[in-house]
Amino acid sequence: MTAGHERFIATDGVSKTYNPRRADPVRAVDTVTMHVDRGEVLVLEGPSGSGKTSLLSLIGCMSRPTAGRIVVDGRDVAKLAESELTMERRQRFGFIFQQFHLVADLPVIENVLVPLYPTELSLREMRRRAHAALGRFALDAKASRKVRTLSGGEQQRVAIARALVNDPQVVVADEPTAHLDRRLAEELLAILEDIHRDGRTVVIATHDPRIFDHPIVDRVLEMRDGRIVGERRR
Amino acid sequence: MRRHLKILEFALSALWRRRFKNLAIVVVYGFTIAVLASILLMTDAMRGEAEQILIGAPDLVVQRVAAGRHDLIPVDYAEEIRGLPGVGEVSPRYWGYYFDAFTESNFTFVGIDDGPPYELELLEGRLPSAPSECAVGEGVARARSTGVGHELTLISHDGLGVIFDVVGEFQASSSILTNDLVVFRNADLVELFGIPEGRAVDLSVEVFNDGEVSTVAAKVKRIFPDTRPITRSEILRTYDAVFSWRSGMLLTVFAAALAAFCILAWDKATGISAEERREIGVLKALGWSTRDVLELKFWEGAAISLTSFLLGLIAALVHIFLLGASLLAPVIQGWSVLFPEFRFTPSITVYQLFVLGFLTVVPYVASTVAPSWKAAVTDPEEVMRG
Amino acid sequence: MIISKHRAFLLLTAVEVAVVIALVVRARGVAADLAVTDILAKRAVAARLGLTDLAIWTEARYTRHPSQTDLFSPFQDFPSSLEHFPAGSVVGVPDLTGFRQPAEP
Ligand SMILES: Nc1ncnc2c1ncn2[C@@H]1O[C@H](COP(=O)(O)OP(=O)(O)OP(=O)(O)O)[C@@H](O)[C@H]1O
Ligand SMILES: [Mg+2]
Repeated sequence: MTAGHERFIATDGVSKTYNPRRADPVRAVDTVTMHVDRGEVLVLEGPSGSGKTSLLSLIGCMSRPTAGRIVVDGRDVAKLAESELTMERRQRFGFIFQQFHLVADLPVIENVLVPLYPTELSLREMRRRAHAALGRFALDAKASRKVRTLSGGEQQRVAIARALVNDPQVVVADEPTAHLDRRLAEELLAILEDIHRDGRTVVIATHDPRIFDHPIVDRVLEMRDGRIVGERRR
Repeated sequence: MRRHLKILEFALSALWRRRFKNLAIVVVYGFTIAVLASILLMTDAMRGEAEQILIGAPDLVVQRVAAGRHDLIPVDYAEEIRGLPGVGEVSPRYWGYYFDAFTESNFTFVGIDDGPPYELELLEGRLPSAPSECAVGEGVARARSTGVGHELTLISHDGLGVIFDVVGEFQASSSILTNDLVVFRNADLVELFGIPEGRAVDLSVEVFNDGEVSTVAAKVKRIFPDTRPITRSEILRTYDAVFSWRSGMLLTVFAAALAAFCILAWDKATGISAEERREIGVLKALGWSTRDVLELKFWEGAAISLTSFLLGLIAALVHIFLLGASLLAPVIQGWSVLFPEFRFTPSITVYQLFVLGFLTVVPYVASTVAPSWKAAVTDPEEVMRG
Repeated sequence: MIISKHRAFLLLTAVEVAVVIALVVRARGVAADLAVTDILAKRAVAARLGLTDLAIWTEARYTRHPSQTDLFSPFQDFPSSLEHFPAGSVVGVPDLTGFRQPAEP
């Protein structure tokens, strides 16, 4: 549990406006200044529509802000070209989506391999890493099964294996427990704890009290209407 | 390099997911290309052959046109044409058509002048050199079950049966030229057809200098306004046009293939499915760049269309040059009762193959890549919201 | 080790290309052989008999002798006119330039 104090990601007055040229622009993120320290577990909490997902995708280099700066490991990513932004995303981030977003009729192993295809790794090395990632979640034996034949819990673990396969520094999870029952939610938290113990930074957006009351969480940022309105440290 | 191969690898995995659908596409697409290529290769082979063979045709043929129809020409015309500068031999040609009631097929009768050579490499036996002799093409021999040493009975213009001795039979390999021929001495043909004294079917004119043929033709036309001179280059040009790409069938099939492409492209261009868009978003979220995604789509299109093209081309080459166009022949044959068996002299240019490849592969790839463009350039954020 | 899909694909494509090349080379070889023997022999037949056309379609005068037909055969009415005979679906429209008054020399 080493919540370092080195700034890893920092935003400076970042805003994200959807439909800026339309009559009804939506300011999903409103001049937010915050940071993520290296190695910490940070939770963004807030009601639906408060801008958690929007902020998360800005931090995760999935989209670019309409205004403000985002510095990732000393590099301003707000104005990077698309390909550069992709490189950042590929090298630093692993994503766990609420809906898993697995390709149902590809085998498990192929799903886990997806993030590695556009790299320079050899196919052999790719397979080795994918098997290692799956092995961690006791899924190695099911590597060649079609995803659609797996249980929900197994699917989630495949999705997590995929998020870890490129050895990311930051794991970003959006509402990871939204559709999970108690047991699976516990399991997920245990996995997140494990990931954190690897030394990875974890950023979670959620409104699930099971998460932000959990002991692994270092810090909770409260969001309302696109703004950060509070911070709790544990 | 390795990255491209790996993206190809993933593209193949993606195609493998729907292998039966994709296999069906390859089969249908490959078949279309095979038909297209067969027609192209065949008409080209025939055109090449026509061009090569018909160099042996007369320099200039002068026919008479009366009331808008081809009519018998007075032999006197020959005298005057012979007087033109640069003109060599002018000989009346006797030939015509014969409907054979026994076999319900059409024969072509050709008369030759007396004079050597009587032997030709592609002729078993010899050409007729005495009255009541004839040589027949392979199709005629087969239809009438006759051959060298046998007889051939024909009905003359006045309804009488006339018996000819078959002294020669053209080999099958010359069928494209001789299949329906019966060759007689001119005198026999004139008698058989009852061509009036002093008339011929047309005149064959020898012109010493190739460059002067059209000048001679113009002069003939001026002297005898009721004639129509046909130069050899016009004959060659006719065959060029006859087998040209414009030929109706090719156009029809091609139009159909093109329409199929358009429907496919339209179907894809009018929006990829939400499922596909989501998949592209996921790829982008997982670190694929726009270029990688477009490359993936490129490989998907290229793998399908290249495989279809090559398989179709192989099928067409085998069909035309090894199987003698056995499947297409009936289509071309139409209502001909006597139809020569084809042995195609291949004429393939690399250019042809490239045009065919270009016209088939490129549209397909384009219609695979283009619709994904928009999804590929969009920020992947959308997938976070499902 | 399982052979990866892209290798299989590239191999298949290479084989297909090789087959195409082999067929084309063979066909061209045949063509070259025929050019010196067969074609010359056929040309001699055409020259000796004074033939102007190929004996492919025997169903009508204008399909048997496309180069010798007159303007009023169905073929020539109009470039896209409907043809009576199936051969018309393969055979294009003859070149009609011969019907024009040749230019003064
Ligand atoms: N593409 C878009 N176009 C317009 N408005 C959008 C778009 N995406 C998000 N929004 C709006 O931005 C606001 C913030 O959305 P966001 O998804 O970040 O909220 P959230 O906090 O993640 O909500 P939830 O808890 O329901 O997931 C919402 O009001 C939403 O309607
Ligand atoms: Mg959200």
